[in-house]
Amino acid sequence: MRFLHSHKTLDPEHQETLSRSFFQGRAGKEVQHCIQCGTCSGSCPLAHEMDLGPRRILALLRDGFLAEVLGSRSIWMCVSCNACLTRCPQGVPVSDIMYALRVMSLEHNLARREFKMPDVYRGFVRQVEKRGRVSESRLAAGYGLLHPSDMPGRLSLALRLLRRRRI
Amino acid sequence: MTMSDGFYFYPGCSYETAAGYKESVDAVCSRLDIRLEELPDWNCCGSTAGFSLQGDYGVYHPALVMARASQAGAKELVTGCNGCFNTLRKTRKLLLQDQDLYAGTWRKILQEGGPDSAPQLPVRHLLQVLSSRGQMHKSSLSPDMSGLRVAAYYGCLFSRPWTDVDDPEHPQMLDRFIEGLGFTPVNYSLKTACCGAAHALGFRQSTEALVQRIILAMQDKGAHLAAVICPLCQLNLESAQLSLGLPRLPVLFFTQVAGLALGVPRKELGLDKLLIAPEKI
Repeated sequence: MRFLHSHKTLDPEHQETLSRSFFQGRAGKEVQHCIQCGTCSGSCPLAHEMDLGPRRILALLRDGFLAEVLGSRSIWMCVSCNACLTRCPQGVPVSDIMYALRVMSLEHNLARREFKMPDVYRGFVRQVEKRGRVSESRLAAGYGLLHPSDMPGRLSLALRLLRRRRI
Repeated sequence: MTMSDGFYFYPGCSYETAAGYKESVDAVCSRLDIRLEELPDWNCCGSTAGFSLQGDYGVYHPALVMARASQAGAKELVTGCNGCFNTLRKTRKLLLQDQDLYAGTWRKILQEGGPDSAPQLPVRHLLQVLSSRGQMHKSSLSPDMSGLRVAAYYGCLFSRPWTDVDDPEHPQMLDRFIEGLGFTPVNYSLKTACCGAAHALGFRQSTEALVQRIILAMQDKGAHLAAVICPLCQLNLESAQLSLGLPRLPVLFFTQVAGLALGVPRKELGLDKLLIAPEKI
């Protein structure tokens, strides 16, 4: 598919298995109500940062291109702002579909390091499970260790927050 | 453990370190005779991270919060964070529409040694509680302050997708609250535009562009300051401005704005914790 970035292509049988397991879940059932109007992509604050916008993701899912969707950066760029699902004339819960896709993407090892958000979420949930609560500075520090190139610009913010007793 | 008005307060993880949120909530509530009793032994709601890694099973941590509140005898939970507000309400909705998920979640809470109580109850935002107290005391507002133009910023998750709270596209509650205090609310179009939330960690340039649009829209309509109702919105709206090179707009919590109108001394409102000092007030 020429509009997709170079993904690991999967054999048809594997695609079929992925597709079946997706459509058995709640999110998969909801996808079928989509009428491809594009209101979701038009409402998305980060659609311009996505390789595949939300409307296109829903179309690919229905056509069985699960691996392409699961390996895309887009499913990790969703901020869960709920603009799409609030406006969707069909009531498709787009944010929940993104969550379901993220879970599958991690299960099948299709998320790449440069998608970054898997590391943010893993660090977050690890804190919840270990300590019950989350410290934002710990979260940022943990993320910084995994993605040091994102950190230089953040140090001055950390110092300012520290000076105001916000860390 | 006592509780006033039948609710417990669920502060969430960002509350204590947020710029003067706790200070101003305490000051304002004590002057309005509202007793905020913190839910004992609360845990993080898991936010979007929980759902991103576990799908519908992300309901476990928020359900545990609500089970604790139910066991403590609360009729409802009140929170001042849009993230917690949405996560708890979303969890309640998922549990009530899926009996298997409901029963399984309750069972898992028990297995982990948690409370044997309903893992769901109604959740309100602190803005709803303070708004329901009616008009604030306009009289204590000095003449130079009543001309202050305040931009209400709701962020995403207060009104979306919760149509029962306010209009999802054009919420009014915070605007009316600001007006009730005696300030002038600003009419602008990005009141519910996204601040970028946790993506600010990994995709800073993208989220700063979102904040730039919001701050410019406020300034175009002559805002002197922004009032927010969520700790992460506050941090993003404020910190992005440090590198955007725009004229700087102070971003206050709605309770700090209320405190100013009620005549609470500035140092009790934690205004010194803001990165952008509100010089006009």
